[in-house]
Amino acid sequence: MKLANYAHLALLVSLSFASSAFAEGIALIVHPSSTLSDASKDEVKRLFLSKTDAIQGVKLKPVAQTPTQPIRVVFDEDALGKSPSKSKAYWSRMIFTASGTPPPQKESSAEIISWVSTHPDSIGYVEVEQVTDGVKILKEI
Amino acid sequence: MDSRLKALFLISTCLMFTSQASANDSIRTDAFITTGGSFSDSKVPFEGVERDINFNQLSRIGINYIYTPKHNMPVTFTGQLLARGITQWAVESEWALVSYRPSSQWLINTGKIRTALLMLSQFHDVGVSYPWTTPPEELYGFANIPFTSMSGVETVNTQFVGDWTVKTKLQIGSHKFKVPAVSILVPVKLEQLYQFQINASSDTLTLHMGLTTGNFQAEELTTLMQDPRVQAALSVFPDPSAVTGALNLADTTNGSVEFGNFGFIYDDNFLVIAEGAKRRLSNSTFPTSQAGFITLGYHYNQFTPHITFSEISTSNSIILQEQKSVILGLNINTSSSSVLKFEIKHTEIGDGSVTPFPGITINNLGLYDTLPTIMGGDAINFDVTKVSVTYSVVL
Repeated sequence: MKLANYAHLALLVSLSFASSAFAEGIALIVHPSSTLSDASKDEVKRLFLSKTDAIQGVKLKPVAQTPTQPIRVVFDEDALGKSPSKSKAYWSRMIFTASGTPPPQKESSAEIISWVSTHPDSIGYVEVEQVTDGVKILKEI
Repeated sequence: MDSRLKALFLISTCLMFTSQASANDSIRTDAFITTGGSFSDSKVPFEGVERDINFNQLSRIGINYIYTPKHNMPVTFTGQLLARGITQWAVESEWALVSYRPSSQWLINTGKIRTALLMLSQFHDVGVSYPWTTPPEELYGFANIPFTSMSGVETVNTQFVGDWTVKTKLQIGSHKFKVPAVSILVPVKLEQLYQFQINASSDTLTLHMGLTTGNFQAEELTTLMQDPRVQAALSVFPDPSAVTGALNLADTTNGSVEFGNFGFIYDDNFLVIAEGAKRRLSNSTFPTSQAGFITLGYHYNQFTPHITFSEISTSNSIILQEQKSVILGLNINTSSSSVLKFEIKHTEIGDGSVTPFPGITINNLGLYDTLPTIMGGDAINFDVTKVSVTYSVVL
């Protein structure tokens, strides 16, 4: 098998592992005091792409995982419809035209949970199995 | 204030904010860089490029600062410093604005803002955001767009319609800039500049339409008329004073401009980008122009081969700038935030001409940087090929 084929195979395997790990395992979390009980995929996408600052009239400040986290790649692809390179091009257009900025990033799911549990107007995403009592699951992706 | 002092002041201000940011986490700093070279097979400069490789034409660096005073304040301050190789890396303030978001649907920017003349105008310098080494010169070149920013106000309204995000943008402002003409920089003052833009986008498709109107003054063209090179160029005419009057060379104090454009971007596995624009000028030496392009590409892993057909035609002026181009390009995404681009552009310059007075024929120049041959300009090739390589990064 050629080197390129090995690389292709490795990429497919890694992507399939990534998908299987997160396909039903991402939890969108908010502060327990939040009045929101659900959100549509479009509402989540608009908020995390800085097209709006609210879901159903409730102002929220999203926090994201760092780009090196596998959950970030899956969330961007599945929830936002952006590959890493398209995501970078999108944010470049937003940032350098004063149209919006990407959400601040946290290094781990533990940091996201800690942030959301102490900031009532924040929203983030973590692996379902990481969720603690300090936050409320708004939606599973 | 001297431009270097201004730049120093801006950099110092930004650094001051940066040092505060580390404590408050309220400032965001981003940068974009494009570096590269280009050359053509023409002895006469064509789109700023000649036979010797030119590293300045396409290279630029920008630093963007967004400062948010407090966590919950709906106000931000944005500054962008931009230095281009083509202007000897002089640092300019491209954006310097205050943003106020009174509600989720509305955003108001005021200060120095980037003009939204065309679909890609506001991020024209950010190399990772489009497929070419630079957007097609026929539409985005200096001949069509001689300025990039203005002082004024911009309002942006965002609405959601099904899967679509619809943004309407209105800009009102004025701007002073200088147009290089022969050996002189001619100051031009744009006033009452109104720009309206509507942009509808889904995950893969963006539709765009824009309209612009404005008034301009270029009184100092009378100074230009005293330049010996211009005097020599006009001496070929039987009655130079009649020429200057007939062609609005001496008085462009009440000029006006209208600009309209339409475009779309389809970006999935296949990439299709098309845009057309018409610029109409009154009481001006410069021509009315129609320009447009279509780009077809395909994303295959990190590779994106693409082809572009681009064209400009002009009228109502002795300045004839007509050409058709084919651009072949290959982009390689070296990471999610960097791209290496190779491009070959072949252009055919039409051999047309205008005859403003009996016995006087002025040849088409395309986008060559020279005067017509009858005015002492260089003879140009009707076919020209340009090669460009760039590397763009965002940080």
